[in-house]
Amino acid sequence: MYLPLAGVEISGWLLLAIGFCVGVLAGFFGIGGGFIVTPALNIFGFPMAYAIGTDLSQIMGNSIVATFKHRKLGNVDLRLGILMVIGTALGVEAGKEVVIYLEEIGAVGSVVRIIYIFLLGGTGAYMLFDYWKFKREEETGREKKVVTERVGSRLSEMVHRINLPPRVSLPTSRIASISIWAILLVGFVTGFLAGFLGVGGGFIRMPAMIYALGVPTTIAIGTDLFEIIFSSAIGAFLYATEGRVEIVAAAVMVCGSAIGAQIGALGTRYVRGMKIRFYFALTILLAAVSVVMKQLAVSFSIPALSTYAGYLILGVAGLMTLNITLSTVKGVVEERAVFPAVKRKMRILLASGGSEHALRAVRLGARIARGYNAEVTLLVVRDPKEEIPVARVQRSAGKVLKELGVQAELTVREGNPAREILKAARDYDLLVIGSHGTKSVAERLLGDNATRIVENMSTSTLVVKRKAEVTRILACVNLPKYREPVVRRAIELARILKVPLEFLYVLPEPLMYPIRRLHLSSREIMELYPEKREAAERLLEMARREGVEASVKFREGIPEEEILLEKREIGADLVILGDSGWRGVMGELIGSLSGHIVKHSRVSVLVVHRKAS
Amino acid sequence: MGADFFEILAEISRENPVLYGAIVVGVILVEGIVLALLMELVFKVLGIEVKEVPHH
Repeated sequence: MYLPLAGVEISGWLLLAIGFCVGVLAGFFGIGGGFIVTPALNIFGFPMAYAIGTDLSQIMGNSIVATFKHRKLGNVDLRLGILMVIGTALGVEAGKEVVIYLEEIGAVGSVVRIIYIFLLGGTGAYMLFDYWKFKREEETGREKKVVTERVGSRLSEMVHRINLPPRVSLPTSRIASISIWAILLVGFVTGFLAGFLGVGGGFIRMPAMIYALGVPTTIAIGTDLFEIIFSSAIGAFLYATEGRVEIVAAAVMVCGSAIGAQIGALGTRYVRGMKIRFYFALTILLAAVSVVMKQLAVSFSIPALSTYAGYLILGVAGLMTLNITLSTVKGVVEERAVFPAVKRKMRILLASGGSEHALRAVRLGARIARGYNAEVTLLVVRDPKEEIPVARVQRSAGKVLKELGVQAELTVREGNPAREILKAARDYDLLVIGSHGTKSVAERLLGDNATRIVENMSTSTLVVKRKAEVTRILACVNLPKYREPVVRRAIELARILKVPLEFLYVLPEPLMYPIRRLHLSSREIMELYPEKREAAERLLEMARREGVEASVKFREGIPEEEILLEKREIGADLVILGDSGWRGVMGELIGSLSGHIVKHSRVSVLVVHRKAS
Repeated sequence: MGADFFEILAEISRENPVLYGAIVVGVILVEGIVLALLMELVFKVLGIEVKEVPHH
């Protein structure tokens, strides 16, 4: 297409591709991407002023799309964004005034370029150093827990301590209280630098929010994009009034960037905060190299060097786009493996005999059913040996269900309770039963009805014991296999019940004498088995994405014992584990892990069937 | 037709720069919002659910 204002002939597909690249980077890093698009357009024939004007217009459209996406992901702190906009606007004006003064004394060109190089290089180098330090601490075990990001810095702590009223709380950014003046000051300084350098300033603001204000990486990205909408809109308008915007080229690029921004923003869901910082640092460091090349091209009159600088930044953008796109696709596929799209409503069977523990089961089952928006059936089994008044059971269970706003269908069966429950539960996704625990000697040896049901059940079963309330969940996982249904159910239940979740992996003790257990600590196991640690990090990431506060613990020993010990230590009142024990004759002879836990645990146990989906 | 359209835009930018500025900002703003909504729809159809991530 021919663009008459700029006097350039350019392919629409090329503009779409540039837009896509910058969209991915903008959505992922929270930058406008001016330092990529302007040289790209310039290389493809746009005069510099047109390249900047057109770029600013596409940045505006691109940041609108990316902000929408980040808002949906919960990454935009509007309160912080608005305050920063005010500070930035004042800073940009001040920066512009300084540039005009330097222009008058004839020193603007070299001063701006040198500060630009130092800012890009310095920020990139510092972030790279911070990432290296984090990785080192992770490897040497100074980070005691498995963490995916470190929020806050010494500088941010100092900024938070500025005790100048009025103060404001930023819950989205996890900042309890901060002086408005501190935010305005950070906004002003970043705005000043942006105005001074004549850039959007995303590459300064994003790290400033992280390090100076202590905002988590993903929120810094989303909030920065929100701010860029305003700054780029003003820039686009000013350049357009000078006739320096090719609106069609900008509109085509926005189409490409709209798709790219989705991928980039989604990528922040799947790439860890510290990794994002690493990629960002690498990109701006190479951008600094490209500016150095341009400066050398001007100083030593080597025009070819300027072109190579453009190609360098384009190459970096292309490679980074490819990397982010692949990470996002991988993340989506991985998440689908753990949380497959559910095509039908979940079906839950609540078995009740009218006793206290059965009513507790109905209560907890109903809470879970409400969270899943599941279809619920209340099952009453009439044992010919014991006379159960169905109407009374229905009334007491109905009262609990009504209280929790859950509707249920009633089914009445007659016969042996364990056998009838086993038969009825086949068509359901989850069975919820109550248990009074093992009371008699026979029950202690052979297990009660609940143990027998769990050991023979082909449906996930929740055995509710002493309490219907859950305050902490312990989920036993088999690392590095983190894609198992037990992980999905544990995260979902922690989300529904709004409680913290701990994943526990037990490294089995060697069975053969004389090899004895090594008494390894959680950290030592992590160091010995990096693949398990990596899987643990993935578990934490998955939980974080679902809004669940989670931790991972490693233990060594006999799984049955260690699970019960850990449960007691952390005060968990729901244990979740997979159904991976022996079945049939072997099951009868040696019992299963799940059966053992159900029999010996005093708190509720959920056994997730291996085929649960 | 396409060339005429480009010429008309170039003409507006020369004759009335403020109007051209307003057109640029208006068009890109509307385009951005429409594309953002369209992308939401596409992702919904593709079944890629995007949930808010509470930051503890």
